[in-house]
Amino acid sequence: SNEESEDLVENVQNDTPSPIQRNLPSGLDLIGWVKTGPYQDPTDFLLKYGPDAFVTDNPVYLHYTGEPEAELQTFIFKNRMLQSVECVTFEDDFLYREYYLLRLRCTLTLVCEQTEKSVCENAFRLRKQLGSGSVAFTVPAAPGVLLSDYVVTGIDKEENVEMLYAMATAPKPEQDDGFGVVGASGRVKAKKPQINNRPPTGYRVIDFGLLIKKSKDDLDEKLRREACNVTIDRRNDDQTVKVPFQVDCLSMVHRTKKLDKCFDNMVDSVDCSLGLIESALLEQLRHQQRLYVSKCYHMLPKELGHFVTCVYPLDGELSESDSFLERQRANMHKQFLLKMTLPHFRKGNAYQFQAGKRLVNPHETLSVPHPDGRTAVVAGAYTYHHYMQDEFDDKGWGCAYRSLQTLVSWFNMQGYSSGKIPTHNDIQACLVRVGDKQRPFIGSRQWIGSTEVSICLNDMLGIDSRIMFVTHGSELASRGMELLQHFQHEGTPIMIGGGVLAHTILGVSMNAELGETKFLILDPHYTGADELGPVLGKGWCGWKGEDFWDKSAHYNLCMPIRPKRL
Amino acid sequence: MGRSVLCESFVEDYLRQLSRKAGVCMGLLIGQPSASGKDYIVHASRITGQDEEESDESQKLNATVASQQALDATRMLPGGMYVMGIFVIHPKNVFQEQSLLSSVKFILMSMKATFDANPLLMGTCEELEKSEKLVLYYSSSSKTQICKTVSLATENPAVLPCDWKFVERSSTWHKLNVYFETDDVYPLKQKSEQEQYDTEANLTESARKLRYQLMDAKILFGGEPKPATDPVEAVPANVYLPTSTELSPNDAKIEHFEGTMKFDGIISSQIYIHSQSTFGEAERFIVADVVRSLMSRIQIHCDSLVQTEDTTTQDKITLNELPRRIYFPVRTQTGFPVQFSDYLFPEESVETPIGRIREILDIGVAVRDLNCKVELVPVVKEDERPTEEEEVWRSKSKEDDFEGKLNMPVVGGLVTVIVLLIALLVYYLMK
Repeated sequence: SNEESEDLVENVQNDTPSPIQRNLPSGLDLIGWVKTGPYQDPTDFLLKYGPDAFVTDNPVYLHYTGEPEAELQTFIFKNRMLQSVECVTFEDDFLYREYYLLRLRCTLTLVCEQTEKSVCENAFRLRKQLGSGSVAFTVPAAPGVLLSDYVVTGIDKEENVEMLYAMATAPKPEQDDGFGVVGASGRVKAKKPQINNRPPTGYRVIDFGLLIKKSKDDLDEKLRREACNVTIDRRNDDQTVKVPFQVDCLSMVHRTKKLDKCFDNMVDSVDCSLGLIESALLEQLRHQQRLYVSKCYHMLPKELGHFVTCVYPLDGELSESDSFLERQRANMHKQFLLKMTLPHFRKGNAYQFQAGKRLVNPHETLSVPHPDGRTAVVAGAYTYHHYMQDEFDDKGWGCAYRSLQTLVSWFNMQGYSSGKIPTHNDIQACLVRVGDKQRPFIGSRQWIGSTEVSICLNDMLGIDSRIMFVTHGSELASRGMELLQHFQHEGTPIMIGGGVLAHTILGVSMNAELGETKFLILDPHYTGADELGPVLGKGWCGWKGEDFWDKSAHYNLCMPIRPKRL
Repeated sequence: MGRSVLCESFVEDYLRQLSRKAGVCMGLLIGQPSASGKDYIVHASRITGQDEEESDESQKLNATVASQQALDATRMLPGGMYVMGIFVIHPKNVFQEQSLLSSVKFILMSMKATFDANPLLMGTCEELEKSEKLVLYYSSSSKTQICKTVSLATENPAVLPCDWKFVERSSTWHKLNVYFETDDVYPLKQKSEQEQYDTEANLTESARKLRYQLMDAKILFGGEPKPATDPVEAVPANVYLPTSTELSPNDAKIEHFEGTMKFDGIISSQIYIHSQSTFGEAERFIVADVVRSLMSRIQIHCDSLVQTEDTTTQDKITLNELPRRIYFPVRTQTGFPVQFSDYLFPEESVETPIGRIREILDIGVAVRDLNCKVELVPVVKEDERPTEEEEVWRSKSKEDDFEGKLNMPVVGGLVTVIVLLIALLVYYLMK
């Protein structure tokens, strides 16, 4: 129902209660179990473990045999018996519409010795210090709004999350009454902010800040009157460390949830996050014998459809390929039953809360030309790079560079690499460094081709590529199957250069008889603004036919190979 | 247009009394500035620590003594109350006698220098006072007063007009109080070559860090943030510290501590603010009070540390019991609500502050006027004591005034023996 918290179904392989719950946004609770394989009567199991799903008296049970053509069987456990229930599946946009994410970010520190005992003790003390009576939450985008354990200010506490979001995203003049605070009486201004009724295309997030209470007043029953004293301790010379860490916690709440109830969600999410960080710090001590400045990263693997939060040492401290981090990721993959050949939990996979300036996956809304035929497109996400971006004028010569930028963006967003897009200068410097070009090349306006693109991918990102030679443009259509297989197995975007032009191929679609081939093209020659309308409207990203290619020209394709590791 | 001052009429009574006793006298003016340029004076206190019989009149206007007393007085004031200037009782008009005026300017500049050297005592409120200090000349012959402000902003301090009025009940005073929890750990810095650490320097550094943190503090009144320009009301207040959203590159590193300074316990904070003030000023005064109180305790504590002749190694773990804050009314008889404070060490008797209060603020209080229960002496928990192998804690105490005190176990033993003797005596008498 609308009022209940969102539910979580888990696959338990052993007896321990959900260890992954900490990695999920708060607001989610264990509600049942799913079994794959041949059917076995789960009554005994559910009688024993049913109470673990304490949010409901009737846990959910799902069964999937895994045989071809088998359906998912859905039950609830009621009156000590399985009862079949109807199951409705929903798409992601249902979640985008019905739920909001409350995101709290803050930095805290832990002062302790680099021993497990000290970390546990001090983390415990920190969690106690951040109990519900000692914190308040602000909404930076809606100044004047404050959530504390007994009062909601700046907005009526009976208002729901939806209204708070509308307030936070309203244009500035509506909020500010001249003092930077919404009204002296703490009420929302007379004119209510409009609730946007356009369907959302992603999760809507409300950012919160944390205020820590450092005092008590006369009315507080927990007031301690012991006067301040200072203990100067030199017993553990140089063993004590102060470790800062970035707390970043998510809470998933239904849009009708009242704000005064949201306070409890936020307190839980802080506690959950601290627990996650404590575990991460203990793991660091166990395997690396030291602590790192750590940060929470949120991932949203498409296969799972929900957020997973991981805690990793901050950038630069450990490389992604370090065995410590690799092992952590492998464990996560096993927990969530994800393939071990595709990264889901690298830092680069982190969900982008801040929409960047670049268009992401502009091809997504285009309809497939041959829905009854065979189609394969690029997997994952990339950003669209083209002429004139970053105020750099490369019109007439930079198209292959821009295509390379798009390819790099794909590897960054899938988590294989760091996140920086190389500039034209970086690309030229790279080619000189490896000896492919001479010094004067840097700063010039010389074209590059697929070979140079593959060299750069290799040197900058450690990526190998396959080069395809096409003698005449007219031949390309016949190589459709190879392209199809590339997108199916590698899923990486392709840079194609030939004649005087370079493009990026994002997909291929062939009709059922495999006679007609269409290519999904991303054109780097676009000079306009990064807006989806003109890009799609004018065909700068679109499906093109075989006549798009110059029939007589010679084409080379750089087809990057995706590393099969997590 | 100059500043204007409203001064409690009991201050006029005090000045008149002083002028009768001594022809020449100087003292401190204590009160609260406001954003509107109107200052409230609630107390005046003559400069002591000088030889009363001193015939050389110029010695009576002694800048060093005045500055030290201004500093000591500031430690006793709640945040929002400041030494706003000085009064001078003299047969000659101080503003018309060049030599006297120069002395007065010199005194004010010395005071400023003293406060600048102790920034954490928050001795001046620059935003509201704007570098202007009050000078009240009270004529011992005509019993009238002239007030001017001296602006210390320029090299050669300028004298500006000021309107002074004695009034009965200048304002309603609101009391706001808060119990600030200090639980925090700061790094201990040691001098590199030696094993010693400088207690005062380390504690002062912690106070400086706290002040820096409190600059961003958000104070909620009645659980709500109040607009800064709203008029102040007496509601429960609480101090909240914000946390930064992201780790800046500067902060994103692990700090190794040579040792730790663990703060525990509260700093009680009580401010008095006149009813024309705003919540914005209340926030500022509360923060000033917490910092001033912490710094005062640190200074008073460090002043009392026993200086050992040989600089042998300090203990591995030392508990510094800072003195606790006690409160007393400015005027014991009338219903004037404002209270000032002083500090009491755990082993000090409750009579000790009385002499100090008389000397620094010229206020006569009795033991019953002192409120010593706002803060309590912390009980040292047994499980927090280090184990037998480690060094034993020793709290550094004031100069041994145990001569005056009885040693409790010995007294207990003596009483027992006396009772026994009396019992034996009775027994024999009864026989």
